[in-house]
Amino acid sequence: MRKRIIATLLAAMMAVSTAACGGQASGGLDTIVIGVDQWNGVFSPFFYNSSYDAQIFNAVQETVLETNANNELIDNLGHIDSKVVGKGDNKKTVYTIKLNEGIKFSDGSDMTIDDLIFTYKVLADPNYDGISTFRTAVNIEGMNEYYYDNPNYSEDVAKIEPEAKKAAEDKKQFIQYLVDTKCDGLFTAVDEDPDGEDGPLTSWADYLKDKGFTISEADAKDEAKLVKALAECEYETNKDSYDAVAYFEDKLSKDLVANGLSDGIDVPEISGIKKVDDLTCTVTTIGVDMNAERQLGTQNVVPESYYGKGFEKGKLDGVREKNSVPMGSGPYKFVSNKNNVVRLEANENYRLGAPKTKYLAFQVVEENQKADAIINGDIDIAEPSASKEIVKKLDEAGVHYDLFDNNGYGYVAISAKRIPDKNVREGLMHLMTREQAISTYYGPLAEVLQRPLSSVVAEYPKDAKEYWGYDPDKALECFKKAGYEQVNGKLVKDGKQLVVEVAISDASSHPATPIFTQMKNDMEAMGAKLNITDTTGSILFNRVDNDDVDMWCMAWGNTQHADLTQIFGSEYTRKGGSNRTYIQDKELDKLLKETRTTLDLEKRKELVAKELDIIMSWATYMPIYQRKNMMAYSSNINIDSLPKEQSMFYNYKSELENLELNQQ
Amino acid sequence: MADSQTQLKHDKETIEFEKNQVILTPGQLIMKRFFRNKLAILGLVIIIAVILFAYIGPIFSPYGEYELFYVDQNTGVEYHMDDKEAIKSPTVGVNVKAPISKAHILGTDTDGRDVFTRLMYGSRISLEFSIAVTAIEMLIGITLGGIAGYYGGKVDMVIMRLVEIFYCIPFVPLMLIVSSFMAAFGIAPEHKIYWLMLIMGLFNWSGVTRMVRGQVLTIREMDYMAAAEASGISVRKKIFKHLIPNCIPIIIVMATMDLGSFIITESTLSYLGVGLSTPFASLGSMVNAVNDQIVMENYLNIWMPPGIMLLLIVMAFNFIGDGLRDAFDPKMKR
Amino acid sequence: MKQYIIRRILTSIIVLFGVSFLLYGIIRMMPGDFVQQMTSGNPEITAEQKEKLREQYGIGGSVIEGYVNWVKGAVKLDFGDSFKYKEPVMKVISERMWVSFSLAAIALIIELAIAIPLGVIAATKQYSKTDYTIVFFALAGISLPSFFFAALLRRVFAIGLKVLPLSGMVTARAHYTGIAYYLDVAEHFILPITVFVILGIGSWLRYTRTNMLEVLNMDYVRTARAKGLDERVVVFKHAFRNTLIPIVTFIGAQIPALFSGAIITEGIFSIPGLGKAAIDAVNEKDLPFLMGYLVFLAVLTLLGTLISDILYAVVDPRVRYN
Repeated sequence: MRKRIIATLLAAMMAVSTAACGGQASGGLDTIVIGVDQWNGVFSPFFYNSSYDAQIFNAVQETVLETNANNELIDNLGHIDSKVVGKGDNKKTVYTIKLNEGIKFSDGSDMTIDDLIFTYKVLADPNYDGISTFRTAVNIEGMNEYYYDNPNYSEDVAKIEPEAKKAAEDKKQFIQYLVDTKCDGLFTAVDEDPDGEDGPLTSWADYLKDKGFTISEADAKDEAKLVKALAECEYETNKDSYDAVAYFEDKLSKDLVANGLSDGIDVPEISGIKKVDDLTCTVTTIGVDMNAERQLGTQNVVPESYYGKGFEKGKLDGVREKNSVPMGSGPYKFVSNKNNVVRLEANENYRLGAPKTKYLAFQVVEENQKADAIINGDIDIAEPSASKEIVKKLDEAGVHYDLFDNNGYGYVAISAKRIPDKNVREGLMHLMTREQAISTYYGPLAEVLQRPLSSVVAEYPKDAKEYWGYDPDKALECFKKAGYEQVNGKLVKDGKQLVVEVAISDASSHPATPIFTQMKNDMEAMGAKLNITDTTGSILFNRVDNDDVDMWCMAWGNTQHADLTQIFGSEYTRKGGSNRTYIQDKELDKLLKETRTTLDLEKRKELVAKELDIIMSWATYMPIYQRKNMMAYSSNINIDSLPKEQSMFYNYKSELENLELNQQ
Repeated sequence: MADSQTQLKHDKETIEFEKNQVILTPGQLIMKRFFRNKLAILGLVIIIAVILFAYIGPIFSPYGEYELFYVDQNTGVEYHMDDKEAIKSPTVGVNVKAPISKAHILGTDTDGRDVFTRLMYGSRISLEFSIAVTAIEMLIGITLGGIAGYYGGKVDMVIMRLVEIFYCIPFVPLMLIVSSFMAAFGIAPEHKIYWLMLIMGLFNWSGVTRMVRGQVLTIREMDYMAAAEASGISVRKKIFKHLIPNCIPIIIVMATMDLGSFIITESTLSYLGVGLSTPFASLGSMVNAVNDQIVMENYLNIWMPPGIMLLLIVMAFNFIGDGLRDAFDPKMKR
Repeated sequence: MKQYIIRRILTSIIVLFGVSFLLYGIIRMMPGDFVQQMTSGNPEITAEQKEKLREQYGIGGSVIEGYVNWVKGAVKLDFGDSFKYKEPVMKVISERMWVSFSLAAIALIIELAIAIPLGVIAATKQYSKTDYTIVFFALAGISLPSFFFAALLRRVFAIGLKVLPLSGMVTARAHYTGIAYYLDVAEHFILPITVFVILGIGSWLRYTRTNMLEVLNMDYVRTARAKGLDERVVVFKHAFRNTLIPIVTFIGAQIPALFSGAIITEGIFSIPGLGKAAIDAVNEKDLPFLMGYLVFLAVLTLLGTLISDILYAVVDPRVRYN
């Protein structure tokens, strides 16, 4: 009896598998399957948070400009002209954005400039909580007034600095500031030891006495009184080390933006964005900025009639409602997202004619199965991470693939805040065996990078030489220069051993793992210690953001331009900024600013080369590799239907409408 | 010596049988039953062999746990990580995925380290890890279970609610969360294993507590306990002389099975990226190489040995556990 | 009995509060949050923007404040919107749990169909070659991690023999409807279910075997044998029926857990179940989803123990509740 059940079950399974296999062959002529990593189902250009979601809605929506294979902006839905007006500090740039005539969304409605302005307004909304930085990336006139809903924002902001300075000069306010911030974090508890266990002082009373102030024993136990006394003492003896102006500026600007929309809409429009006619608008930005055109031109133009139901400033519910069902003017229309498969259907209204293939499907495929899935023909297009062996495997299977330079790079960074002594950092730089690790990992699929900028960016100095080479003897010299001595087999300074922590995510079979293993070994031989912390990406980001780790290994991706301000500019060393290596260099800041406002490429190349040398000299940033990305296509795909000239900036994704299956 | 064979036919046999009757203590009976189980013996042999391999092996191994090897890509000559001048040569790279050779009995792994040597260290770490976790889990579980079962009432109520709370917390997501704390506090990789042991022990005691409490409850109801109660012996004596010894069989069986399952848990955590840390080896992190399709297909020497080792250890623990249970429980004998 | 169940449910609610507070606290104290996660790698985001976002996601305030807000929603079964999926947590869970359930339930049925007969056979032939073989293979199944089996099976059946799909839940290329759709899904489920079965058989088999052994030594079985009944009748009619009692309670306890999702297997086969979503939620700090999911699991666990206790009383009339 039982045997029979099992037998029936097995038979059923067999039947199932053969039936389904049979179906596969017949239904495959009109669908191209793209294998991607797990998406989140938020297919909205406003609220998405993964690049796989973006790949899907980008098949449905388009932008005014796109990039060609050389990362230059070219016309797509329309055209942008720019004109610089004014002089000196009052320079402004006026961009005229013109859409082509006759473009229709997939629901048949006409695209107008209002749809683009709608996109800008959603991205600038006070209640916008997506990841786009459009609002701050382009300095559009009237943007802050709109965002903070304060018509006098600019004037009010201008008043902040003098007001803050005035407040800082007032003794009473200054002391109040010291009390409020507990002397900028100097004080934490009544019974704490002000200079640590090793120092001569044992209590805050001692600290005050040391500086010539007295406090009664009873008052020293009362936190409020103690802090007050401390604040007065600090004001008299140590005033200059406190940045009161910054504090007051911060406070005043917080007061300024506190109101927002709670008192009704005061600023209904962004003053710098003006509609000219149904297809044209102008956008006025303050100053000259090499990235503004890119920012303005590469936002998805979405139908206001669809996304804008009930839209008014501050109310984005209608936009959010469409998160899972995107619509636009792209070559394909969204159909469904079910069982880890997204289905798209050809948009007959597409401006360049209906796409050649009827259906497009995206399927979730785990990273290390992409190559096999392509060879099997389960999927047609995927981007497996390129390695020597994957290449070999695809070659053996006769699978067509393209290799493009990745627009990003991997690096090891050292925090100059945590390791302030440059000699120590230089020593660490001399302990990295980059060549040895990269050559066997990637072979010809990656090269060692010499400067911290992706080499696909036009400004990258192609002739740059190695800055810090692997040399353990030199490293030891550097450590010694920093004051470390080898005592009893330990490398010590002031009785403390040199211990460095490096954090890395997903270390197993990571190209940096051998570098750190070698480093650990070399440092142990010198008497120092290297602790390798292997963790997940999110923890790594968190620790780096909190300046909680000495050295780390990460990668930048999706680089579009050569503006390095956010990564290396002094002002971005503040908490939450992206300059976590703490490079603070006045000369570099000047160069960065100049680069940003220089529109001439050749001149920018020179400036960027200088910038990169200064960055390297700080010994905080060691670029490791410039990798190649792979796009592989199954035998179902007609290779001739791929774009002729391809790169990471322009590839099959840019011409989905031409993509074709082989006729069988 | 099964009882079916003890038919009294000859005097000699009778004498023999009576001798046995006299000699066998309950402990010996258990041993006898245990050693009748061939799988259990096999398990014991495997564990002893693995322990020898893991603890004696490294003494004879010429390499260290995370020693890197380099190779000159033109000449094929291998260099050691301390050979600093040779490493500087532009044609030298890390010797990853080297094939089986005299120098590397099982080749090298994806990061250029000797697989055979790492297998020894990995087995050692995995064994120590599961033993420590089991010990912690048992210590907490037995204490709380004993207290709850013996005292009953409010104490029992509180402990059992606590058990339920811990029982309700799903282990893997929680482990991921806890690991993030470890990474955030910058715990040195060589200390991470101790923290993992402690935390896993802390989150796994609830099952033991339940079991021990149940056992104590049944024993308390038994006639001989009533007799012990009536004779007025002290609480301590009651617990240590009567309750605990009678719980031991079930505890030992649970412990042996958990020894195996914690090794599996560790490898699952490694798979999720929160296991024992690089550059140190564990069976879990080594066996994870199987997920790299390329390694899986072309480099059996990297993933197969740790896989077999894992299988052997966990199965051996399970065999021993099964054997012990059959042996402890007279009802199981047929 | 009714009173007992009501009391059990009431204590469960208290336990749930304890669990949820503990979990909320731990998750909130976790280093990093969703805002940091989603802005990481984007150098253009400013500190001020991040602060604003935290406020908008409701993760700016204190832990207690956040928990109170969470409870206020949770008692109305509103667990908020998932940060990651931007949809109500309840909706995400209810959509995905059926995928997880169908996988796990089919696997459970197959496991039982194989493990129970084999367990009975092994017990009746204790210490024989058959017994050793059965136990050996059953235990081998629980002696390797799930990803290991998954990798091996896929290598053989999907890449080597090419008879089964590599991963996924449906054939993306095809547009199946009706029966063909279910057959397609079934084909994709074969490998993951096999992994479940390999991993699951061991414990069921062990459980059956132990219980069977115990029953076979009971006096009434001996009596049956002494009566000269056929061994097969003794085993299946007398012994097996009594072995079923603990097995049924054990199954009852497992049913709610079928909804909880398999973290590793679902991930490997790219099946959109709850387990995979849970791992992603931890990694991306999706607080509302994580809370909803973990509390959902807690409810399932409590339900499981409750069901098994009740079943125990139903099948074994000797058990009384007070």
